[in-house]
Amino acid sequence: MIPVLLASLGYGLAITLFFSLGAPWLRGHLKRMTMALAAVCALLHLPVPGVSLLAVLRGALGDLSIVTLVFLTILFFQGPRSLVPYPRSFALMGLAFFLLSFGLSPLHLYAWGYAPAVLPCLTGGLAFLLWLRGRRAFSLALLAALVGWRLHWLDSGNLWDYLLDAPLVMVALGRAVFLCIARKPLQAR
Amino acid sequence: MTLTARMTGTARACLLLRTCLHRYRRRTALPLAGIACLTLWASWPAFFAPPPRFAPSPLPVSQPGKTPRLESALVNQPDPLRVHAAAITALPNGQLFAVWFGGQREGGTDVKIYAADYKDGAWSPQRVLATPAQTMAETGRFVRKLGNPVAFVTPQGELWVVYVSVALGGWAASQLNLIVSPDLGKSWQPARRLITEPFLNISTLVKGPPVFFENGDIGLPVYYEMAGKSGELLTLSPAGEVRRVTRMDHGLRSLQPIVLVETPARAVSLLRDGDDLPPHRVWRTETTDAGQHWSPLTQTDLPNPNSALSALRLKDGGLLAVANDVENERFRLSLLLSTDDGQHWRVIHRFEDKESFLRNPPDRNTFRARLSEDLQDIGRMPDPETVARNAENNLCGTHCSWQYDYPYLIRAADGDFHLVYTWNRSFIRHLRFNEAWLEKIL
Repeated sequence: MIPVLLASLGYGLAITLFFSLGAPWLRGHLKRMTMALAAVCALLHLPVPGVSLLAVLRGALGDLSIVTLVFLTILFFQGPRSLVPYPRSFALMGLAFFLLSFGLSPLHLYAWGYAPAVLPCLTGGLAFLLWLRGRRAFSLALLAALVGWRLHWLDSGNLWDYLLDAPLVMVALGRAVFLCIARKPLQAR
Repeated sequence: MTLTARMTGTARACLLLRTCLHRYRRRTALPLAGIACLTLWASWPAFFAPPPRFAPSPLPVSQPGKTPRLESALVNQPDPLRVHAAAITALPNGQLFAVWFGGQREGGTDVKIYAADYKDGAWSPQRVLATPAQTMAETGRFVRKLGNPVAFVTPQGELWVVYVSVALGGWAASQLNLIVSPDLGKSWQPARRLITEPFLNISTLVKGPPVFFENGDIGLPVYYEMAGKSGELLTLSPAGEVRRVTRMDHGLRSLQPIVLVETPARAVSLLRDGDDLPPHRVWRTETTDAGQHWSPLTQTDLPNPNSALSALRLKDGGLLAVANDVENERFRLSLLLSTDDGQHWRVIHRFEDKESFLRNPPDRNTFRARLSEDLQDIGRMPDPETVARNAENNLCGTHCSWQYDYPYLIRAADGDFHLVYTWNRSFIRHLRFNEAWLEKIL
């Protein structure tokens, strides 16, 4: 039940925020945004035709990670800003992680995400450093992922699935490319 | 030398941490302590996880004095037209349970998972075990088509079926689903999705029978085939949660592992060849730490036409395999024996062999004549004319071909061997033989 609720919330937030980009009357109005979120979440469960949009999204993209959920929630309450902090590093790390998981290299990082203590300790350490550097939202997102993993909030038992997901890495990649393109004219001047 | 230069790395790190903590102490000491405690709580169970140990299956002992016996039957009905990837398991009540997938064509959206029971020497009528719509409703995730199933009884006495489904794309985008029957197939709990891969949870397929661990965990040999192709050992808890995954290889050359446990720490795995480059041989790897690490793959001398094989361990330490022991086609299915843990193999019997047609594919008339000869040895089956018609529809175009593949071999508690495989893309054939028959052909 919890995985379905979290998936519904995650995809609901993502779709609502995406539509709010083109709807100034919605952006920044928490009450309207909440109503829109409720409507989107309800639509996600509507079986048209025979299959709900949520099932299609979960079948094709899987569940969103807890980190993504925290980022989306922050965006929802704080208005438009960059979804992913450190987009270049995030995109690079995410891409490297996914490429390594494709089975062409002997390094299989995804296997670390099950029981060994290394990855949870690294995640806690990173949250610690981010807190010291004032990146509190990011730090809290990582801690929420650790809590979610320990309490098995998602269908997965792998910590990586609580920290990362393909849509998040795609957004980070898009942002990183945008930043690179946006910087070039400045350097040319 | 200054004081800082003389300090060791550890001392420097401590000094840096102290400086940081001092600087941030007032406002952040409590949150940082909270982060440390939370991290410790999250990782705590991992510190005390004991290393895994295989639970070697007790090897059945045949009753002496039995007469050699080889029996044959077709398991499924003529509808649907095409069937594939059968698996079989022995139930504690002495019956057998077989699963396979079938539809108008492999990869079609009409493909369903079918099952049948073997009781008192005969197969029950087939029944539908899972459909795409049912899987979608129960997992809450979109499913377009179904594929390979594997059935087994867990140490807790539950009957499990793990089967492949695809939401988008081909087999490389497969995902695994689990259904559990607490009463050996009378009723089934809703399907649930196994999360096994990080990228959209795609590209995990199943083919081989499981192995078991001493703590009750289940080791399921699976494989990955999106960018790379490699065998994996997926460890599931008795509750069906994924606990661990280890890859047996990386690259593009091997898939569909069969794991043969010897001791609580040691096992050998044989893998189908997926390499484009010859020579096409079955791959072999072994573990000495109960599947946590696997040795580099080596080629055996057993030819393999990029086709699944099945194997099991005998009580004298030998390995018995059923495989297509040719490099390019699946017209031959042989029983093979290895006495050096899977490195070298010798053929001891051919269950199917159509090598004579290799360079001379039969036309329909020749095909029909040969098929009617084959049907005389097939044993219990549906109407022979329908069987022949289905086989012809599945195997004949301009010319006809033969295909015997995807063997799945087990040994029941009474010592008898049971083999199921896809017979000419149209039927699941079941062969039952005993140790006396095996000794006779050795």
